[in-house]
Amino acid sequence: MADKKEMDNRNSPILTKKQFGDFFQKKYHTACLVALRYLTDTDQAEDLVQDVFVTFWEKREDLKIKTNLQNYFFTAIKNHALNQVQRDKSQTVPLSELLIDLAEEENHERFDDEELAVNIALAIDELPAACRNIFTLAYREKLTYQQIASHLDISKNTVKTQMGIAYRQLREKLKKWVVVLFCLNIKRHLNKL
Amino acid sequence: MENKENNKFEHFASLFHDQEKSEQAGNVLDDDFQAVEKIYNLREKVNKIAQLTLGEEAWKKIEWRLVEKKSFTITRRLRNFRYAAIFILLVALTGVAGIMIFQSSQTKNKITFTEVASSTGEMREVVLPDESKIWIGASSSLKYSSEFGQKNREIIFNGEAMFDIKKAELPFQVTLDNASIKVHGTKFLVTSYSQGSNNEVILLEGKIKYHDKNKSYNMSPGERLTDNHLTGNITKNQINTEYYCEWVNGKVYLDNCKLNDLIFLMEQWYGATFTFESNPLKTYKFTGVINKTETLDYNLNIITLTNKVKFYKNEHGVIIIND
Repeated sequence: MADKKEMDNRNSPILTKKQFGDFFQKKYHTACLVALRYLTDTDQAEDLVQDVFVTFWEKREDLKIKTNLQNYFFTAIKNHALNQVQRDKSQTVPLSELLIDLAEEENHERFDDEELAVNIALAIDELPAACRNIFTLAYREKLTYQQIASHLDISKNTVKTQMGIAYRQLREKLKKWVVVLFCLNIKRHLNKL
Repeated sequence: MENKENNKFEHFASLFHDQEKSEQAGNVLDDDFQAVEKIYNLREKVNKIAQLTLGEEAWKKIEWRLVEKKSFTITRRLRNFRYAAIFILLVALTGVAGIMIFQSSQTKNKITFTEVASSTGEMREVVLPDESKIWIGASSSLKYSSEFGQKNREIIFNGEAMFDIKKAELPFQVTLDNASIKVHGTKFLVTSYSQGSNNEVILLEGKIKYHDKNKSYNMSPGERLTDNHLTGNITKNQINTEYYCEWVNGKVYLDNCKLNDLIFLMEQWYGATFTFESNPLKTYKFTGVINKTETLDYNLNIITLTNKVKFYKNEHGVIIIND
């Protein structure tokens, strides 16, 4: 039983290249975000993720994956990234620059935030164009409503309305994910009590 | 209802994004508020995604590395190899047209083949799924199926290589164009190119079996077997094994080797084109050591010293003439 290879809980002993490709493409950004917890350079993170995937493919027959494929990858990437950070100690990075939340480190084997972030990015792409434009200015460029209003030459009220629409649509799209996170939050609150 | 909902989100959004109102973004006990908060808090991560390559493009970038997986990641200088060989088998084989057995087995199920190939003047280290190691020389290729290690340990080989085979229950088989070699756990060296007149197998230690179409031949250490493709004649003779141990370091020992065969090998190692001025030159014999890590000119000089031939270079390659 212990010898049994489990892959992503689907009883497929051999991973085809096609399956592997689909999996890679689906999880690539999430994996990069995991690496970016510890690395600041996106190119470096992408190289690392690609190397881990290639290495896995070479060794796939020998590996025994205890949990599931996805968690195996994210954990492997996390460990590789940590090793890399330790190796280049010269490249000291200020903590403030890392996307790492120290308080969350106790949950460092969880990758929900990265998964959710990828899904938020996808959901943002699906917003109506005008709405997405306004939302991106606030969310990415960190402009205030006033700044957006004057930049786009629209009323501040329009900005406010569109931001409401954007968040409501994102919330709808992400319901599945956000619910999971709430359960975690509640658990954490209960533990504190 | 919808309006009220929208208003609620408008309110939450402005708590985070509209600085004029952000003074009271404290804890609101509301699922929707927590959703907005979460989305807002993850903005650094979300915004990083825009800087990343698309998954599809990244896949294209790595896909080719998966095809030729081994040949890229494990290239290493042969010089570094510590030669404590237990078992060396030298197969000098020429005249391989590679369709063979592999096609018939391919029709079953969905067997996929991994092929590793090297180019002219290159050496590579390959690790097989069973951890056996193969150092392949110039212009060589080897194939193995997805069933390798499960139903068989068979590789289809053409070129020049040294094998370090792990011991296992399944016998290891090297399939050549018109013959095969069976071993159980051994180190051996293979040199096999696709236009030639014979197979040459040199066994340094241990035991192997050489199978041609009709018969099999047991070999003992220190024996050289030559299988002539044209006549089908198989001959065996004793050689001094010490000379062959240096193969991994790039030293090739040649004992009464036809100049034609030596030039053929040198074409693979150096990627140069040679032309014989006249046919009788091809049958000149050469005995000596050629070091592949030396330059072409260096080795041509050595051949000049021991043979009555001279080499001239022009834009088409090297011309071999009678001295």
